[in-house]
Amino acid sequence: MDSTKIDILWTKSQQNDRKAQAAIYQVFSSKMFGVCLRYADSNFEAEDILQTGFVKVFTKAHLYDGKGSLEGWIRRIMVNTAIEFYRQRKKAFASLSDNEEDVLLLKSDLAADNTGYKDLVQLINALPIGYRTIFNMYVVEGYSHRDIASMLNISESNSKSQLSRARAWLKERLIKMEIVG
Amino acid sequence: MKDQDVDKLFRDALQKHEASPSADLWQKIERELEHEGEVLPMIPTKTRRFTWKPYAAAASLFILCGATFFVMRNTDISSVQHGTAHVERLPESKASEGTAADSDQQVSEDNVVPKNERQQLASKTIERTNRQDGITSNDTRKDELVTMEFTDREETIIAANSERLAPEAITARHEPLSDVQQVVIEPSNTQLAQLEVASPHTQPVYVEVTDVEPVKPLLERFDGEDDEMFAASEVRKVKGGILNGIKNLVNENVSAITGREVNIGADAEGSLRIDIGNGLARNRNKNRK
Repeated sequence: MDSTKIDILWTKSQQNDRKAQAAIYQVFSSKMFGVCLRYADSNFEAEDILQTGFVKVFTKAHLYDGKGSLEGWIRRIMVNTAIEFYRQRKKAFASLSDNEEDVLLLKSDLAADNTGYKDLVQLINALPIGYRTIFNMYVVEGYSHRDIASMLNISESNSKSQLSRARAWLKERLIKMEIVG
Repeated sequence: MKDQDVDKLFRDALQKHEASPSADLWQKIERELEHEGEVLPMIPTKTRRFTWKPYAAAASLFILCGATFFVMRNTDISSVQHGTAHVERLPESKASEGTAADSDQQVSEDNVVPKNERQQLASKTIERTNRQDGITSNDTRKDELVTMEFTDREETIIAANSERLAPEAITARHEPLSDVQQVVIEPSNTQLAQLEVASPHTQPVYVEVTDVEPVKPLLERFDGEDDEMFAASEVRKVKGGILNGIKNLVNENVSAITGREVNIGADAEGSLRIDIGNGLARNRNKNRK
């Protein structure tokens, strides 16, 4: 689907055209669900985030100023919604779990499904939620530490240290995986 | 493995990562969007709710006021009822007192004798004060009324005092107060002589004399009232020949000074015109010149 078609659909959905909105949803849902999955604790929560995020996209469609890509705008809304969910959960940043069970589970998953980036997604999902959120925001979405700090209501140094710990954790798992693989 | 490599690896992998959500998710979103459409009009209803608050406050205030009024009214009625109840009870208590008084016959008898004397005393004192003020009261009625009222109050006071005061205390007071009594009695009257005679013989007479003191304030009050009454009576007297009286009075005084007659005119509306000769007018004209 080319960008002009998306633009037409978007202007229609801005006028609350339900069919156009459905088409927009079809275009972006899987991509955005990927984003949501990275931040969510579970598949169920990811769907909740996606639902809330898309409702926001369509109810606040008039706020899209046309600067930047529509996909980027929707993605930002998704990430913000995910962070809201994360805040609502109010889960304290858990310490890195070296729980053997988790690792074993991960290994078995990797053994069953050895298809490139999905391993990495699995690995990311194995990250404790606090680290995962910061890692996602910094590495994948490209937020600065300052942004992350303000969004998550933590200090900048905390954000940095959490990121480095997340990296170290991921590195360790990657090395293990290579050995296993 | 460097940090940047790790970042790149995961970025590439995760940004590509897509997953299809459950098929019914769009239905959920659509439903929520419909609800959103309903929520928007809900906002005015919410504001409507808010607008009800002042009305509710006003209504509650009004109800409160009404309630307080009712309560006040009820309390008033209840108090009145209580009052009537008291009034009804009073005669009973009086009756009981009467029975009690019967038992103390001596006390009551003692009180009776002095009362009469006291009446005489009071009347005399009033007459006396009247004379001292230079007011000659032709109305015997007034004196009677005054004495009547006087005696009524006195009786009550006597009753109260006689009940309260121990006989010893009364006798103790008795002598110094007797002087006062004598002073009051002094004016020449046959009854006074009787009093003087009676006082040394029977002690109960003195007992009542002790009660004379509280009467004094009553007399003072009556004096004031008497003045007012006399003033009123004077006006009434003059009213008959008010014009002539004033004429005579002014003529006597003014004509002596000016040597001229004073003309007094009055109309039906009660306005009075006194023309005090032309002498004063001339003087005024002279001063103007």
